[in-house]
This record gives sequence, C-alpha cells and structure tokens, in this order.
Amino acid sequence: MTDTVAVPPASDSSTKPDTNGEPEEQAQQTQQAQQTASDMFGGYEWQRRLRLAGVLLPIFAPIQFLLAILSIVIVLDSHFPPPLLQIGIFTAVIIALGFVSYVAGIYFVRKQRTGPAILCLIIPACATILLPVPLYDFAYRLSAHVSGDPIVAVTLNIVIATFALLVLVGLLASNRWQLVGATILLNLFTVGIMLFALRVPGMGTSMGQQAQMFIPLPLMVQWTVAGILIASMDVSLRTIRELGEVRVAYAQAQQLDDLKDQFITHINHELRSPVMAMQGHIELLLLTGETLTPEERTSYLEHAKHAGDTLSSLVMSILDIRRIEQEAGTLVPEPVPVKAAVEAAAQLIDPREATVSGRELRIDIPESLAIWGDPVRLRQILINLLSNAVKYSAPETPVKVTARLVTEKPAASARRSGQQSQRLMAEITVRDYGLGIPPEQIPLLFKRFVRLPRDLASNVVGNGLGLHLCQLFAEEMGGSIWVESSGVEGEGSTFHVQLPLPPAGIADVTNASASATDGAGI
Amino acid sequence: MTEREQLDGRQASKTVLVVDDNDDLLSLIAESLRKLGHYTVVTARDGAEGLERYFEARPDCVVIDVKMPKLDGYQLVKALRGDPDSSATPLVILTAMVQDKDQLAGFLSGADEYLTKPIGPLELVRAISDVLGRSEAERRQRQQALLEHLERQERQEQQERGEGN
Repeated sequence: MTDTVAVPPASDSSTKPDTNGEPEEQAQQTQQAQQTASDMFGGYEWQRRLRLAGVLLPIFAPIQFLLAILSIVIVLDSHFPPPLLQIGIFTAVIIALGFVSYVAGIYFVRKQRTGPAILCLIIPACATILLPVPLYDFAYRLSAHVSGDPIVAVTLNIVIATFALLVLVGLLASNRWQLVGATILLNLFTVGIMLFALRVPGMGTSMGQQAQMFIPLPLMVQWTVAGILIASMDVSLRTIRELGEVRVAYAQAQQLDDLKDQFITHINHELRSPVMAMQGHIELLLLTGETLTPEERTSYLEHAKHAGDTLSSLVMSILDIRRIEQEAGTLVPEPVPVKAAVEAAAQLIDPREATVSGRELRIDIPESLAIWGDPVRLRQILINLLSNAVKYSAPETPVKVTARLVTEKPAASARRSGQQSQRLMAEITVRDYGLGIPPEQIPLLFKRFVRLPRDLASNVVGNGLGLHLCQLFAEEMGGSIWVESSGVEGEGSTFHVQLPLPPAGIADVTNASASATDGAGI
Repeated sequence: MTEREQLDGRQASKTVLVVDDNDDLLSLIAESLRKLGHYTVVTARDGAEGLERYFEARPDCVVIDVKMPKLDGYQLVKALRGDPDSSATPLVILTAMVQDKDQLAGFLSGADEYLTKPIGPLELVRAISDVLGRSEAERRQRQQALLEHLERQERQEQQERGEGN
C-alpha cells in the first residue's frame, strides 16, 4: 500500500543535510577524546619505555664499544691456545655486534619504534652478560689445556651481573609476567652455570659439596630484586593509568568546552537573524503604521510572528536537551500508530522552507503498525527527519517513508540489555535521494554541539541540535536511530529509527503487530 | 526635524539591491529601505541571483548577507568589485557574523561598510544613506582606514596571545 502526500519542497536543494557535525579539526579532537583510558595508558607505557631506551642506549653504546676494543686487544695480545683463541674471538665478535645493536637501537628510538629499540637493548645486554660462561664451559670441555681455576670467579661475577640484567628487564618490561618469566630463566641459567662451575674437576670436593649452600643465595636475591621491581612496577603502572584517566577526562572536558564555544558562536549567529526580523518588523510597524495598507500590516506581523516562532523553536531545542537529560525515565509510553504520526509530521513541515515546487512523499506503512512510546517525541523525530530529507534533496526526487517489523539491531540490543537477546521492533525508514553524507562524517551526525564543515560553510539554517534530539527521543523510548549513506550525490541518505512495539497484553496493539507482520516486506 | 524626516529628504529615487536568503530579513530590509528611505528596492535570495539582479537593475548600492547558497556574500562582493562595470558601486555587508576576523574578511573582500545583525530599520537606512552620501574616494579612504585598524587590532591580539603562552 502506497500513499502519496504532497509536501512543500525546500527553498534550496543545493545544500546538504542539516546535520549535527563538526569541522575536520573537531573530528580529530572527538576521536582523540574518545580514546579509552586503556589506550591512553598504552600510549604512556609506550612512551615511557621508548624514553628509557633513549636514555640507556647512548650510555651502553660507548661502554660496549670500549668493551669490544678491550676484547680485541686481549685476543690479539694474550696468545690464547686453541680453542680458547676461537672462543675469545667469538666473544669479541659478540661484543662488537652488541655495539652495533645499540647503535641500531638509537636509530629506532629516533624513529619512535619502541619494540625494535628495546630488543636492540636487551639482546646484546643478555649476550654480553650471559654468553662468556657457557663459552668458557664449552672451551673447557673441548680442551684439557684450559684450567678450571678461574671458572668459579667468572661464574660468580656473571651471577652478580644477572641482577643488573634483571633490573634492566624489570625497567623495560611492559607487565609483571615478563619480569617473572625473565627471573625464572635467569634462575635456571644461574643454577646451571653454578652447578657446572662448582663441579669442575680440580675445584676440590669441598666446593662441590658446598654447592647446595651457594646456589640458593643468588636465586633468593634474584627473586628479591624481582619482587621489588614488580612492586615498583605495579605502583608506577597504577600511577600511569590514573594519569591516563585524568588526561582522558581533561581531553574530553576540553573538547566539550571547545564544542560549547562553537555552539555558542553558532547559536549567537542563529539568534541574531530572527531577533532582527522580529524586532525590525514591529519597529517598522510602529514607525510607519499610519501609512500602511492592511495587507502590509498583516505581512509585517506575519514575518514578525514567523521570526518569533523560529526564535522560540531554537530556544526550545536548546531547552529540550536539558529537559530530556533531566527528565530521563519519566516517559509514559502509549501505543502510537506509525502511519498517522508520519502523515501528521508531513503536514507540520514548515511551509516557509518549501517555496520551489511540490514534493512527492511516498508513505508505505501498514495501517495497524504502532510503536510503544510518546506521540509527541515520535512526531518530533519524524518532522526532523522529513524536514532534512525534503530540504536537502533535489525538488524532483521523492522522499520515501516505510515501516515494518524487524528484529532489533544487535548493537542496540546489546547496549540495552548487556546481552544479545533481540526483540521485535518497528523500524521506520526515511529515504531521500539528495547529496548524502560522507561516510567518515556519519559518526558525528548525532553529536551535540557540533556541525559538519559543509554546514558551517554554507547558509544552512539550523541549530545543529535536530538529530541529537532525535537520538535522545529514540533512546528515551527504548529504541535507536542510525543512518546509512554512501556520500554519493543522488544516492542520498537513509535514516532508520527502531522503536519498541506495544506490549502483547494491549489488545489493539496485538492486532497491530499481527497485521504489521503480515504487511512486512514493504 | 526627526531622523526619519531627514532620511525621507535624502537619496530618494536611488535603487538598492538587497541579497539575503532569509525571507523575513529580506522583507524587513526591503520594506525599511522603501518605507523609511524611499529607495527603489530589488531583492535576491542567493549570491548568484544577486549577481544577476545587479546587472539587470544597476543599483546604486548593494546590501549583502554573508552566509548564502551558491555564492556567499564575500564571493559576491569580490565578483562585483572585480568587474569594472560594478566596481564603483557601494557595497554593504549585513551579517550575523560578528567576530573581528569576519569583519576583516568583509573589508578585505572589498565591502565599503560592515553592519551586524540585529540592526534596527532606522539605523539601517541611515547607514545606507551615509554610504550613498560618500564619494567613491571617501569610501575607499574610509575602507582603508578601517582595514588598517582591524589589522592592527588583530596583530595586537596575536601578540597578546603569544605573550600569554
């Protein structure tokens, strides 16, 4: 069933929808402010580790360079027998590569690449500290010429060095489990090298027997260091997280402040025209009253009244938002026939906005379909959507309004109940064939205090609150609103409003639902 | 003699083109100029129509809103200033944009006068009458002085903002 209602067209079809939006820079601000606290926290953590790497790498690099030179000198000067010579050369190469890695790390810090920078810091530090003992052990196994005497001293030095390594890992780790893992690995390494060192033939049996006493001590110290680091990490992470939350709150407050400033500037502009028109016509009437014809007087009064209506509508829109926010939950729903509401709304579109030619409005809605909500709120939603559709599409193109029964949109369902239980809803669709809305600006449409750049640049009359109000009304009635648009001229926009159906216990509503189901698939 | 009587005696038979996309304001401005200033008034509802009407009616003065479809007020002023046939016509911007930067943009585009809404009918007619009463040289001189004043003001504000930071 399709009804056609003549709706007055817009005065200007060249402009695009009067939608709430914002300029590009504000879009960026919005996105920034929409960052979650955890995103912000991640950003802080990323920066902290990058800065730490930026401090440590320039310190480690020259030390490693000197160490590499020293290793090379020792290898050249000491006349080690094979395989110690090869081991010495290998160690010198590892140390030299460590220097190269540190330099690469400095490069990555400059490129703001935290992950590679940290790897370039940790890997050579581990290699430099941990490799000598296994290499020495390896050399020992290969050659009888290598004395076991210095291995205890070397091993103990390395064990001490593992504490430094643990601290380094603790500083650069992004969570406690990385530190726990590193501590376990260092425990295993420590136990391994100590068992080997203390049981080398020639160390004496007493050293071997005392291994049970030597080994637990470094392990305990390693876990003590790890414990202190974990405690410190927890405290600093909590602080960083709190700082992140403060920063998010600050960014959001700043964004709201900017939007309010912009809103005030915009409203200031929008108020001036109707104020001038209303006051001016009355003043003109007072100044020239005696010379005017009755038609002129009527015309002045009509213009003054219209300006007053515009002013009143603007002020009411602003007050409505406050009222709705304050009165949330006070709605007393009732069954509202959709088709009648659409037809009433079509008649209430301001005829002054439509001065070019007639417009075809195709209404395709089952007679019996009703929603469970407030008739005034539904009418306001429809007036706003129809008005936008009519104003911002070419006069010769139709505007289509359809309605049918659907399963609730999953996102709305999840938001409402916190789970995926979906109910049957009435979906009203308002489709136009105008310029459409750029997809990247769609998320901004329903925001308060914002306008799209193109609206700001054009002469589009509007308070920038219409769609925000629609969203408030829809959500207040337990529904949702969204828009689909490719942004391609001629393809236009499709606004969808989903609203709940009347409860099954209400007789006429039950009938309406049944009939609407029959008539679905419009 | 009242202000209205003074206005009645001046500038009669001059033509003013009013370009504004708001019907209520278009009616008010046109009626004020007709009834209080006895001007012949031609109207247009957007910048492009304004340009067209200008060359049809050859008005003595143009009152131009800024935010308009097709061609905005600044563009219309530039277009009229850029054409030798219309470059000498007094151009008055009448807008709800009240910030200094908007005013600067208005004068930079070539307007002779920048009026902000709301403005009463008498005040509006007086301003149009004043603009029409000035010679082109006087208008250019005044425009230049206003521009310099606004630019100086903006520089000072920028400096203060810089010091504030």
